[in-house]
Amino acid sequence: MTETKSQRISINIAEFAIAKHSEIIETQSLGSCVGVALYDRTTKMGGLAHIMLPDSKKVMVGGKPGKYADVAIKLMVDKLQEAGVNKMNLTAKIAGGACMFSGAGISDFMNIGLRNVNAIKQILSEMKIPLVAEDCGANHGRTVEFNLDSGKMTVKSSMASTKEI
Amino acid sequence: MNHEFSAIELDAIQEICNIASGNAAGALSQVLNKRINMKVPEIKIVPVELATEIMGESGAIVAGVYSRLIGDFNGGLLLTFPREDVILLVDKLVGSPSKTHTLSELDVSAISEVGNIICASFVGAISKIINKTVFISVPKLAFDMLGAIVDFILIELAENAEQALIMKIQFEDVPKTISGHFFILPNPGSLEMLLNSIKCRH
Repeated sequence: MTETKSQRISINIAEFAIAKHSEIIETQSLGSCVGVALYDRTTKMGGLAHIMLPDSKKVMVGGKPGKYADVAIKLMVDKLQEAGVNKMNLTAKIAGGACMFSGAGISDFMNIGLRNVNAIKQILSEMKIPLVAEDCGANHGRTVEFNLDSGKMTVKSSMASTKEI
Repeated sequence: MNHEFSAIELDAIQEICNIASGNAAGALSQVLNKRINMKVPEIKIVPVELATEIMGESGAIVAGVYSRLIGDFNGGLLLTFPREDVILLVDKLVGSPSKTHTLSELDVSAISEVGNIICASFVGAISKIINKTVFISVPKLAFDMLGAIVDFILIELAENAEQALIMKIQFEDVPKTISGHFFILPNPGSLEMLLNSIKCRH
């Protein structure tokens, strides 16, 4: 069997993708957006979503379904189940949710990064998907690579050093 | 509401922005104690999703100065400069060439202040031309990936805004040409208000 180079899938803001063993999903420049990775260790399948806002029910306008935490996570789980993943095997890792302009007068209510992270944690716990690792908050952007081979998420930042979670 | 802008409308906006940038250049000249010319060579109105793409590489490190606009014109205003250009500008401001890649507290404060001067004089000029009241909030500075900075602003305002006004701006002889972007995200109605005010003048 010949070793093939892992295939890269790039997702943009408000998008998500599912992938299998030997593939890598990446998304660039998460600010207050959050990257949510779901992974099934037994089948080495999983998905990554670039989520923008916490709740689809609070907004009137439409847009891509991947924009909202509640819709995106559920859709991703559905797609993974269609592909043969048992929901009970899923674990989650999240990164992002920064407050890019910290300091002057941004209240917790305005801190959408924090609201995103909280909403995602709540949704994951309601869906009984354990959150195994996170790199959230602070005031710097992040670029995320999710390796479906190892289930590891590499988090690069302009400020902090590269992390593997 | 989506609105297709005609070439004449875009020309009118560009004209106003050129006048406003002249104002901003004047303010910057005073700070640097040197004649600075500022140009707006390009102006575009695009759907908000395409904003990052037009301003550069999503992962590129930029300095972004962000303010909210409040009053007759509502929305957000972001001024960005690429990393290398902002370092040049800071060297000029603080007077010592920075040997490291990190910015000191003084550098950061100098960038914020310059951003503040440029944004406030720009917005001030526009509000005078269209004869409307526009207030500008104290600007905040971020030094990070372009995509992450724009995302943050889109999220803060995107529930309302659909179109963004993007201007390329150039400062000449600082000592070389420094180029950055103005990114204006108007709330619905504000862009139409701006255009109507322009039409009334003609």
